[in-house]
Amino acid sequence: MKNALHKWISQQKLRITAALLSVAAVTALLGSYAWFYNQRGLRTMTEVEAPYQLTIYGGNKTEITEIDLSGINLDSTTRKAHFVFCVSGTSTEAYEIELAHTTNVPFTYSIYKTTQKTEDQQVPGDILFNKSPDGKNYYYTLGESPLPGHYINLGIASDLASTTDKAYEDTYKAYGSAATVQKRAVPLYYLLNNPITPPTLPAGETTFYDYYILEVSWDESLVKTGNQKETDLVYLMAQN
Amino acid sequence: MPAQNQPAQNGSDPAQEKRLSAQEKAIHKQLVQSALLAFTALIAICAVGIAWFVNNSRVSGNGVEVQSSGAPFELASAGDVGQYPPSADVVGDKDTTALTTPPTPLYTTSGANTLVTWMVNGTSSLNNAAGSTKKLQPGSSGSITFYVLPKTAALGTLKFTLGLTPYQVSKNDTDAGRVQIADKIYAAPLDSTDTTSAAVYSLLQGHLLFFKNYNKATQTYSGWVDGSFTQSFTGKPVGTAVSITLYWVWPLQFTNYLYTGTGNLFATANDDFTALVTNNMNNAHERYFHANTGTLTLPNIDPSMDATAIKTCTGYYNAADELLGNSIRYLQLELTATEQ
Repeated sequence: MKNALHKWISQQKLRITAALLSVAAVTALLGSYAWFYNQRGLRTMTEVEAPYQLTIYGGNKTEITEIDLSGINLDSTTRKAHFVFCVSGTSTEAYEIELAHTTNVPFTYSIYKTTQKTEDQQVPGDILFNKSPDGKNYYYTLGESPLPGHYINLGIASDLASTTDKAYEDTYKAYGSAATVQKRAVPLYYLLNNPITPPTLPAGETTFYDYYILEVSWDESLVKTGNQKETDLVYLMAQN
Repeated sequence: MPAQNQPAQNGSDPAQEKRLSAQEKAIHKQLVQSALLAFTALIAICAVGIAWFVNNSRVSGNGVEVQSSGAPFELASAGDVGQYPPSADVVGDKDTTALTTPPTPLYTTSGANTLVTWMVNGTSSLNNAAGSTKKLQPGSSGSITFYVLPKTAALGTLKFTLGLTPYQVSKNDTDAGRVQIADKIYAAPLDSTDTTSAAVYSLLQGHLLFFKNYNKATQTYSGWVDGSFTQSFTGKPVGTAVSITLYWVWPLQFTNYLYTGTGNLFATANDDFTALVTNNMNNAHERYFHANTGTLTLPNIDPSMDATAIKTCTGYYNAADELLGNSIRYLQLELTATEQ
């Protein structure tokens, strides 16, 4: 009886193998189907902002590498000098304007918001910009009052940067104590109080141009006493 | 005279003839037996078949209802709206039984809908929660919450996988995977076989980071989720909702990774720092850095890097941010949960 069974198995080997393989395949299929069956998912989407740039131009969208602050005449009766610049960009996000300057010369800096006018629109008192590549003159009205701003790293003395705040520590710790750093080489940072929202653009336009006047002013004591040959570095920054 | 010895017919041997007929008889017997057996079996089958057919008159088909025989868990989300639901998305089944504290309606997956819209609200979404704009940009951060509903007491460990897919605005009907975002606005996923798009997929992994924990006081993170994480649900009772919150951030600059302390990614140079900065940034730099022109030559990234090296890496990181911002308009996050 046993022999007959063994004989039968060996004869039917191929069929048995095929049957077992198909059973295994079906089981595997069922098993993996069961695994997929137990998978669950959640899905959401969001929008990504496109990177945008702010550019600083001179008057009449003139490309500049620096705002030319030369030619400040200390004999001027008004004791003020004005320079025009423009912040331009494609974003609708508000941006901030910051001014950083060293304190060798006791100038006071203020920023006025203005709009551009052509030669025939000018009124007395307007600030002239005559360095446009098209050769024309452009005029900008000086407003009543400058945009409010404040120094963010003022020290105890009203005209020197703080030597105890974290920014000073991070920047100058490599030089040792405060005594080894020239106090007037440490820049003061002037930040406008309120971020400026770009104007709503007419349909079809993507770039805005906001004009500003940088006013450099000084008082009589500077004319009389000195520090007239000193040099300062002034940086103008705009960022979103 | 009786005929006794008949002459042999056809030259055959009478003895052989007798053997043959004996064999024939044996075979014949076997055949009859098999036939009888088969016939009996046939009768039995017919009998059963007829009985079943006869019983059929009592079976009425009213429509078949297939009920999923118990998935061990379901996923759910709570929120007001599904964000930019691609046309294929489905809002999950609303479940208002009080599963959460405070009670919040949950929108759950089910056997019929295994992938549903992640409902979002002001505090849980992939929208930027830091700043005035909801759109993502470097410096954005937020958190997103989901719930796991155990359906069986035997639920063990689940593995959660996060998939980020970048989408760009699509103008052609033929773009693969196209979805409708809003009226007349369509988007399609970036083609991962394209070299630049492949770079975008990689950079997403390193620039949009997910964490399990966030320290509000120091604004630092811990429990970095590198694509997936597991969590055990042993002992969680059926009928409750286990909430899991993921904190995500798009760090503003390279130094947020490198420096530790308040305002940076990590409070100290802990295990998370080692895993992400020391290991991943050095070994998988295509996730963090991009060179606009030429090849990427990275210095070794560790806390003792000098200023020049930091400046180089910052440049590459910012270039990567710009590539991401220019290439992606919509970003899809898909969470998949499977039983371990």
